[in-house]
Amino acid sequence: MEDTAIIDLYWKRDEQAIVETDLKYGKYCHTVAYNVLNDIEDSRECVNDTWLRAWNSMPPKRPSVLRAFLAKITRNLAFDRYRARGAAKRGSGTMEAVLDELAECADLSGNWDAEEAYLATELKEAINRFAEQLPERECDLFVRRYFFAEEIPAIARRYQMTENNVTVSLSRIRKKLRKYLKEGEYIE
Amino acid sequence: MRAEDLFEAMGGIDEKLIARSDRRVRSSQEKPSSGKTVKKARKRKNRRSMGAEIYRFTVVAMSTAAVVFVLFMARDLLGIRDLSDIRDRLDSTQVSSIAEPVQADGAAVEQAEKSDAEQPEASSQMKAADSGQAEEAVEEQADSAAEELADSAVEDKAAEAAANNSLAKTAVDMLGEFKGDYVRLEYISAKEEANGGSRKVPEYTVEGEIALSEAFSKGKASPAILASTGEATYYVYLTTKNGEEHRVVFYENAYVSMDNIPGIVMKISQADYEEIEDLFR
Repeated sequence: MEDTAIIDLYWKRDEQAIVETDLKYGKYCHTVAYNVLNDIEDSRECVNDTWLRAWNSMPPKRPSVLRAFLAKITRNLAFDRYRARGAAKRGSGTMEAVLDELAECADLSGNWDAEEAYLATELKEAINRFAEQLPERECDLFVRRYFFAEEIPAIARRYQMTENNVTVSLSRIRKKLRKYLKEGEYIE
Repeated sequence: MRAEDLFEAMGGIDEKLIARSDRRVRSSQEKPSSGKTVKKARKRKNRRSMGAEIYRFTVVAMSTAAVVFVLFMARDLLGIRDLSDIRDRLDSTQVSSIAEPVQADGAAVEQAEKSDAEQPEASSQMKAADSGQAEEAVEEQADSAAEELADSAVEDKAAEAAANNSLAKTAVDMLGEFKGDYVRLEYISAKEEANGGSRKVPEYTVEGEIALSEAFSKGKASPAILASTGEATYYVYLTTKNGEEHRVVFYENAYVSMDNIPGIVMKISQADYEEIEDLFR
């Protein structure tokens, strides 16, 4: 079924919308959740939460790209679930590697909590601008790694690059991000 | 701000950007399904792999050439510099030729004394004459006779030695320390060889041996590709005990090469080259 037809079903409050979404994007959303959670059961629950969140958001929302809309919901829900886990249950999957990499761009000394809500919105916009200004290939790598939390070998296969090449490119992107965040005074 | 906050903020990336990235991923995965694209991709891949093959081949060939070059250089240099035998032999020849005139001198004095004794007239004259002039005249006569005798003895000895040398030694002996490896040495000029001329065997000379050993001990090996050797002038054919033939080529710009050591030439001094040329004339 076409995305517009599925969205129409949501707007008509037809529960068939969820069945159709699951048929078309169930696997995809499961992969997105699994990248973050590294657990099949948790990922399945996360996908179910995604359908519920989509049901609640449409209407009033009418996403232009349903696939990306669902991916974003899944990814954010999966990360909430990841954070809610105890440190012991987090394991040592891709997510830990991604966070380690991002720690290079984060500023541990910054007083983040005081203005958290405001800064979070600001930061989201800043990162969005940063991603937009990146060259096409770098933007793709950035999104695959830090939005979808994909493993480096998987990214290398996708773009027919060597793993080393991907690692080096990501390192350069992180340097750029750090510089960008410093210039925007998000970090010291 | 922690890494987790940053990752959370990444979740705010615009859906359009995510969709674009997703689309590009899917299109790159779907691309090979169209026939034309597959052909193009295969062609590009082939070109790439061909390039890689050429690069790999070049690297391997160059490194092999470098290793072979180093090995030949080492062999060449070590072989040529180990000429202590020749030098010792040359030194001993020079010492004996210096010692011989001294012996000849002694013989001449004896001869003079004998002649002195055999000349009773002169002694009686000496006794009879009161003047010292007669005495001096006799002494001068004796001296000159002794000198003449000594000179002729030296000449005879040198001629004898040269004759002995040339009789006992062959052209192969001019190769010095390599003489054991070869049983025959022949030469021919490049022109004669081109005209179907026959090879010649040079006569052994001490000068020839010196010239050859000097040339090879002072010569410097270099890669043939970098040397402007000029035309080949003489070919020297060396036959081993097994009957194998090694060709040594002399070039007009005072270079020497050996066919069994390809890629290397040796630059010798112009003076040495001319001396060797004289040997072959």
